[in-house]
Amino acid sequence: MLILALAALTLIALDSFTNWLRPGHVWLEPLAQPFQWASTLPMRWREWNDEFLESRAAIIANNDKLETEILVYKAQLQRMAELSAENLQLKSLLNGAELVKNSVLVAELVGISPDPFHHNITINRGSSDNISEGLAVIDGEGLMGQVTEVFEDHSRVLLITDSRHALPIYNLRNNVRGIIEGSGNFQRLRLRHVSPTQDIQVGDTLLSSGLGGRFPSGYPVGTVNAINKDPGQAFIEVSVTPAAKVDRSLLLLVVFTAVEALDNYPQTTETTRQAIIPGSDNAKGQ
Amino acid sequence: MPRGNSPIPLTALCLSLITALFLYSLPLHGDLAFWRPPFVLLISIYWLLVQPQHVGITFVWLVGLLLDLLYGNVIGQNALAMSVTAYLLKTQEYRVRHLSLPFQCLAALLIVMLYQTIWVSTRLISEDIVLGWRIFYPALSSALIWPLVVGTLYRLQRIF
Repeated sequence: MLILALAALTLIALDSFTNWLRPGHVWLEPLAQPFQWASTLPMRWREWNDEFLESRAAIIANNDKLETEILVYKAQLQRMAELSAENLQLKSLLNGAELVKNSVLVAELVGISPDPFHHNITINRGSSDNISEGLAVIDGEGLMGQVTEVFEDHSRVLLITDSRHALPIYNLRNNVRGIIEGSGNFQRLRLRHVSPTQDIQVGDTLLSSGLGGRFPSGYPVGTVNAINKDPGQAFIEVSVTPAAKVDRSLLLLVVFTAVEALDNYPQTTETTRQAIIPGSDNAKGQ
Repeated sequence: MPRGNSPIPLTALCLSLITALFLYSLPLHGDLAFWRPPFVLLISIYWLLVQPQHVGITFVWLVGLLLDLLYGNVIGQNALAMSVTAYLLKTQEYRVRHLSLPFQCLAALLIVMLYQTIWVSTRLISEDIVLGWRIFYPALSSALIWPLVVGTLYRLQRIF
């Protein structure tokens, strides 16, 4: 018994403070796949219900609605192409090394962590799809989280609602910056260190600011849903509803920032790279 | 609780273990996730008490290790918590086996509380967890489903 307990303690210490047991994690990962898959069964069941048990009329109506939506988006996209070209040109004039466009990769949710203390999910893209640690993951509505562990064919994503997670944001209305952190609750995020005099209102949209270089900028993170001013406290409590459907989305997108996206295309030559990102060789030379 | 002298019921054991792992990984909505009983621990304990000649603390330790590896926890957390719990239970083996069902449920409550305490303490080494009464919710739910676990496993053992 003592030997077993000591062995367990040694393993805990090794795995917490060193990287030596990592091969064990990677090697046993395929074994966990069926159980991971089981964890998404209720969501899949609901989706199956939606797909197969809908009436013909409902599907036709839905199709019509989607076609109208596509038309609207296409119209917006026509302007978008021009605007992003203009934006790129202006940025190159300013000698900025940032590319407007981020490329995305569609990924599917294949597992949810059963641990109630932490919000982790598993997606079906891994190192074979050029996923690396730290990439941002979004769904159709907003920012979901970031990749923390990469395996061969899938990777683990830490959600923004996890209590260990925080990211820099700015307020769309007045560009005030802040840090938002998870609360351990899927429906709620918290803004940190907001002074009582700061201009913030219920309904404000918060976007990722890209400071810190981990997340791409400009993705919706959430909307302010409650502000609690306690005169006895130095800071006010701001509670935010996440924009992404953190606990419901099945299809996700992994965002590659521009430079990484270029690395993914082998045909990209150094000259095109410089043409797209002016100043990149300056940075290298220094 | 019955005590068998038969050869090890390998099929029943594997089947119950796989079912427990599946039940453990099913998602629960929001705060309900805090109420999930540690199915794998409950099943290991049942086999520990029913098949003492085949299933020992080493087995429980290995199952804990498997659980850690499968769910990407820090390796050894569940192995430690489950084996220490199993050891302490083993010292009281002869008392626990003769308890009536309501008292067995009470015992399950205490055992899972003990397990949760050890498990959360080991997790505090490297992670930050918001402590609260909710770490003991699984103990309550375990006490409630214990009769179901015993009944199911007993029947399973009879079939195979």
